[in-house]
Amino acid sequence: MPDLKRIVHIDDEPDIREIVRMSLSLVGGLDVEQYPSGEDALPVIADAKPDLILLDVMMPNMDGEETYRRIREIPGLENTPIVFMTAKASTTDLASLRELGAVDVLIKPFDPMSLADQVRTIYRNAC
Amino acid sequence: MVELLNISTAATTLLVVVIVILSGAAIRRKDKITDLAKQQLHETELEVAFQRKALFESGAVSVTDEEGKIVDVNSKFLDTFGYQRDALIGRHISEFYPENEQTLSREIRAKTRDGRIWSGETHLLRADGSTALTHNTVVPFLDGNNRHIKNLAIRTDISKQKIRDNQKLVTSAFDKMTDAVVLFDPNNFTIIYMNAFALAEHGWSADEAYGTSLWKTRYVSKPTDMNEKCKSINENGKCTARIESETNGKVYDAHSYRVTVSSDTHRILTMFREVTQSVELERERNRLISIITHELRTPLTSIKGALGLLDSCAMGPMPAEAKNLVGIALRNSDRMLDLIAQILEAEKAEHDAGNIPLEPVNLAEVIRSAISANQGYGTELGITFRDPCDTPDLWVNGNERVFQQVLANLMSNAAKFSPSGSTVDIWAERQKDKIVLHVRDQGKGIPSAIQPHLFSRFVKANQEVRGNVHGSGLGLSIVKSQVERLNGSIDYETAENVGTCFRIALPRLQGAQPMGNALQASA
Repeated sequence: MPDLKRIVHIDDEPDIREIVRMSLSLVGGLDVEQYPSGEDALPVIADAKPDLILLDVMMPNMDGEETYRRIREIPGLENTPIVFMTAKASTTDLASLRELGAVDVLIKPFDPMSLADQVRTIYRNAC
Repeated sequence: MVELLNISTAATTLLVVVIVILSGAAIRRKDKITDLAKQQLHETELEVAFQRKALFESGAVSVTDEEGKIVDVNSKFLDTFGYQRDALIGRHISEFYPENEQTLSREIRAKTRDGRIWSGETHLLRADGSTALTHNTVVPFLDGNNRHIKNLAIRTDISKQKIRDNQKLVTSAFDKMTDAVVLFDPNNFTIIYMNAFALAEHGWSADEAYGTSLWKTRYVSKPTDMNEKCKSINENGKCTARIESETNGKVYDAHSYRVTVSSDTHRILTMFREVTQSVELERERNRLISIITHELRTPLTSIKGALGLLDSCAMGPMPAEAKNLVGIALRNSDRMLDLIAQILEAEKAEHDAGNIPLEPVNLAEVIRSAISANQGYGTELGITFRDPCDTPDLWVNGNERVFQQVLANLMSNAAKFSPSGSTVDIWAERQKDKIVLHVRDQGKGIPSAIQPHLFSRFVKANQEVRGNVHGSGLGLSIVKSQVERLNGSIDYETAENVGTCFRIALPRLQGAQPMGNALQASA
């Protein structure tokens, strides 16, 4: 089983990007590349060669679901595990995100001290 | 028309009375008359005979003997009630009164036996089995010894008039309403009746509305609106549909009822209530919920995340005072998240109204699970949760998840307002045809000032709570609405410095207990 090393995180909230970066990188020891939107990420995400993608759901212009669909069209990323992060925690919302093909959904707010462990577990289960 | 009828009825009564007085006088004074008097009496008798003829031709008249058996009826009686003469003669008049007027029939006979006239409304069975409402005047005839010998009753069928009066009453009530009421024929959707409010909205007269297609109203513009959304009317005779009118863009709640005119003729009575504003408010509320879920939780994610990283010393060691301050900020961000969660829970409960699947639930197991699930929280506050009665298996129709939500709310409330070291009791018992679930604490009791609003939203006791635990004021509002969704009711008893006991009464599950439990019980 390959180790989880490199994560791409897409979120429009700069503060949340900062917390996630610290949680995954500083606490979890993972490489993190971040983008503020799907539009910014799509042209370059393949070059980042991520093991796993963390994707915010509610973003202006291109939302998480649309970004998910576009990523899946990029050669080499068809099967990369994608985990949604959302503050919308209703059962219906979660079910529709899983239906789309996400390997898991993380609810905001998350525990910054255990985020890396959570992501590692999701990655192990997905591979 | 009503007045005319009353005048006619009064005149008939008066006429009957005059005849009887004259007839009675004639009978009693027969032996004492002189020749002159004979002549006068002859003239009087002629007059009486004339009036009697008039009477017999104008009303439905029946004559009964002293026992109440019919001895004569006029042709008007036969025409009015549809009988053949032979079917009536010799039968007791009470046989023609409906069951619920048998006592009245006896009262009339008792009164007339005493020589008194009775007048009022009675029903009479027609030959076809239907019932006619009549105005009835019953006049007793006495012999020379004042002995009751027969009754003469004159009836006027006022059924149709009564129906017309009732119809007027109903339409006048509809005309006072500020919702549109439309009666239409479901076969061709043409309007039969519109109330004053609906007519005014369209600028139509009643005649203009009559026969107009329902689809020409401002409420519904196409058949699919009513047909698709109102299929249930064929099953249970009523339905409610929300219709967005294409004519004026307004939203209406249409409450429809099937009205049976005869066995094969039906009409639909629909009340259109405009709800555009409340629909807008509902949309606004949903938008607010979305803001709460996303716009509040997102910054809280950053706040809580940053504080969490600081608190764990991931950024390096912190002075004790700083760590204390970070702890305060963390607790309060948790509190805000709890509040958001409760608001969402309340909204979800509102939204899920009527969608909770009900199934047999054993309250004994519910109580055991609730005590186990909430004991950790209780321990933090020094509270012991226990079931003092070791509740036996008691089955109700409910929902396990909802019961756990209800108990968690009541138990956390009880713990928050109880002194450390005290006990909160949770048990259930059977009371007649109900199962009553109790949650009793040993706290300070509910202040009388908030008792009238206790189950309203955002009502909080202005009491000291322990462990820095604050409530949102939504818990009891959620509890009440959830209990009502389980067809139950909630009340409480409270006494200052003694405690409070909440009681949830639920209908006992009828019939056999679920198979699984029955098997367990017999094993």
